[in-house]
Amino acid sequence: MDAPFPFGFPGPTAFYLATYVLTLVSHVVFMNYVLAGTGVLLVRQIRGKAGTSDALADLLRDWLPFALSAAITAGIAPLLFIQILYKKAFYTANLLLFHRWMLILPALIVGFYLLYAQKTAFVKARPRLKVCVTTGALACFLFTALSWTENYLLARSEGAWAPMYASKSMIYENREILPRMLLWTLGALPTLAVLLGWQLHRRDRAGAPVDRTTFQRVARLGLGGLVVAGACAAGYAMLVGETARAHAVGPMARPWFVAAVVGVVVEGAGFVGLYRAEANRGRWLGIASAGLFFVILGTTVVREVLRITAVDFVALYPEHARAAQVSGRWLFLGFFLVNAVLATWAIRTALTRAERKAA
Amino acid sequence: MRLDAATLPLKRAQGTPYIVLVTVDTSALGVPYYPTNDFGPLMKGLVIGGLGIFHVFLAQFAIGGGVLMTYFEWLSGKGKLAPARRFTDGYFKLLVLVSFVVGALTGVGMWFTSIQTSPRTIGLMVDTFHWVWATEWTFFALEVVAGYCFYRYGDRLDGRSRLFLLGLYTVAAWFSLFWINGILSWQLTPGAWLASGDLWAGFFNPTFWPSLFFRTFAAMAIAALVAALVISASPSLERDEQKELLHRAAQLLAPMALMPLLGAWYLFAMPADSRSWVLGGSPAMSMFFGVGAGASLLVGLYAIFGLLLRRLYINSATASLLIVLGFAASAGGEFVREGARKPFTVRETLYSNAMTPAEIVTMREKGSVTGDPYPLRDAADYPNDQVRLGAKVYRFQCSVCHTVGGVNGLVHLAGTWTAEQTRLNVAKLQHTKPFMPPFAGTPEELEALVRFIEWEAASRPKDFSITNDPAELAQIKRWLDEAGTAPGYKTASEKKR
Repeated sequence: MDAPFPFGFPGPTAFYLATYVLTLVSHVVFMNYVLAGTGVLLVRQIRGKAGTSDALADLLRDWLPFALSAAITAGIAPLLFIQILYKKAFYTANLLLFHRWMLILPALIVGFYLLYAQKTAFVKARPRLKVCVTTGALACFLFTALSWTENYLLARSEGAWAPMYASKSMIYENREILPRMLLWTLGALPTLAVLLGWQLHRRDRAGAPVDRTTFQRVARLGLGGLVVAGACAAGYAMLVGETARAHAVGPMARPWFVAAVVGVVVEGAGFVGLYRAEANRGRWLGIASAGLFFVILGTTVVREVLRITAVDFVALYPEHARAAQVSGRWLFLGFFLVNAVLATWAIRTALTRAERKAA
Repeated sequence: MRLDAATLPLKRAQGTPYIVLVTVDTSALGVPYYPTNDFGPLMKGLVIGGLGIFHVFLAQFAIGGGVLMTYFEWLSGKGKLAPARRFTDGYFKLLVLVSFVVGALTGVGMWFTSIQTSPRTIGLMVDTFHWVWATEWTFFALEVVAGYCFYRYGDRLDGRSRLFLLGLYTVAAWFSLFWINGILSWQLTPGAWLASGDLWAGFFNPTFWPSLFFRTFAAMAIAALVAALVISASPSLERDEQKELLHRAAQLLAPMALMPLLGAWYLFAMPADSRSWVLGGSPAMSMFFGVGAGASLLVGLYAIFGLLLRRLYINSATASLLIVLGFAASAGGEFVREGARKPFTVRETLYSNAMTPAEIVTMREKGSVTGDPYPLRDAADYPNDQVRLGAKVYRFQCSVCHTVGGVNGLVHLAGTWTAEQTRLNVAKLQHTKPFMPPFAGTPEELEALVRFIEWEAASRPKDFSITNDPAELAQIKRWLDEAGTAPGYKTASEKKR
């Protein structure tokens, strides 16, 4: 395991790892929008003044339900591939935290409906209710995040399974849980800033001018997110111990760790440019987006390397090899491409035809 | 650990190669042990069954809803149904709010509840069909994209664009059903996959087509019933408009006339033993089959004679009642589909308690819970080691379908039997009830299970004796050998021959 991820693994294992990471990245993008977006919306509602318009809050209120739907849809693929990669560990952690999975379902449904409720005139007209509704939605999403964090940590700690089962504990006690969750939650802010920036930019170009202050606010959000997430990452690194730290910068993860660090710098430069820009904001958003891509990809790989090195991964190779013998991957690839084209066509039809008519 | 054909007497007896299962070797047996949760008086099947039925109903509503709206949009474009657009926009909002939210999440939830019930089953399904599942995901993603495009921009689009988006949504939703249907029907009738391991032989299995057509028509019927409720409850529609819309929506109920034929096709494509459970062999399954068929019949008769031929108006109360009947029909059908697989979760591959036929042979020799790393919860509550062993055997072999004293409780089923009777019935379990798997353990484990049931039936006394009569254990061994490890229906069919 001295080669950079995913090289150094047998072919089938490397293939499933790469597929898992790539699909997880797409889920993380939407998940970050939902998690950070709901938090930002709550802050803006608490700090906002009645009767004043808030472009960011309006945008978030409008798009959060769709983002949640996209996050759930994008989350299905990594959920499928994780079952091939870490079947026993994943299932065991799910069984030990079974009440959590039974609760996540209603929590997400409630969170979903609360996001839709934000859009109703009834809630919009009542500032206190608005705050309560957003708080409720955020609580649902944080609970989901907490459960996933617990699941991830428990799945890679085989020694904890039998004692936890015997103790009937409903909570997996691990000192990494809260710091880790804080890291991922605050790390979602730069993603939100990039996506919000593009949404505002598109709105601006479509003839609904967005003032410079709003873009600057987005840039500050992104920069602030990078700083606090960076501080959390440093704190978390101190907590996880020397072995995990060594793996995070070891041969398997090092190129991806470097990619993430470079990504942070590039993303930061993009946000600074966006903050200063009077025009050509698309260019700075493009730079920030490129940086974001490397940050998310790099951190996702480092996260995976920490799991791989924490479990007896070599013992799982035969399972991966057997799964790879199953046919159907070309079917998937073919329909993936066809459906991606059709989805793009649908979006294009909706955007171009609807706008033309409105104009 | 790879289990080869030589260790699989069931398949070897049939003269066919066996589909090998690779498991992570965590014990001497190569069986992956999982922590088992106890749902108290509720059996696990109820948990997944309840959520499954709810999800299926919503998913079918999403598919049928697409067909209905595409049809209405087409009628609107042709100028044949003036209020169609107004209705479609309102109906789609309902579809998004109910089906996109609860339907999508319960779909993900199905995976989690399946893990709770039988991780090995879902693991085998994922191993075998992960690319089919991934393909289904691309269609689901397309469905969501097309649906949201229509939801957000539909009211600002021209008729052609609306029809395109709705058509795309409908095709994607139906193909989602197409792929999932192949996986679900494979569980009951894996067909030639058993011999060849070929993915497509398993996917296009004997019950694939009847099941697909049946579900498609069911989806259209559910959408029509929900539409009837939305139309009759809509204050913005005039009475004449409502009547016209109702008549058009009811046209989607017409294919229900073919359901009896499709149902018969499905039944005859089933294995003979599974069919026998449905047609009287198992009272519960026959009852649910009757509920499903009866509810479908009532809805179908009302649709054909009332809505289509006599063009009756339908109020909200009647529409709600028809939806309840539709739900009952779905529930009955899903219960039958799940139950008819017994004693397997994947026919001739994995028993309902998640053991392979080969593992049963090994466990008869080495014990079923010898390598189970999970201790008993509340181990101190049991009076002695024998009852503790029995509790572990119950947890490993029985608890997926049974409870101790609740639904399908062992105490209710076997509490009144004599000890000798219990030993015999459990040792020859697959012959006692052919939808049960063979007992998978040593005579000592069987005796421990018998003592556990007796202890529970006696209201868990503090003092409880240990039985260790060698003659009794030898008798159990003889019975186990006589019973063999092949499923009970094999013996029944041999007798008939």
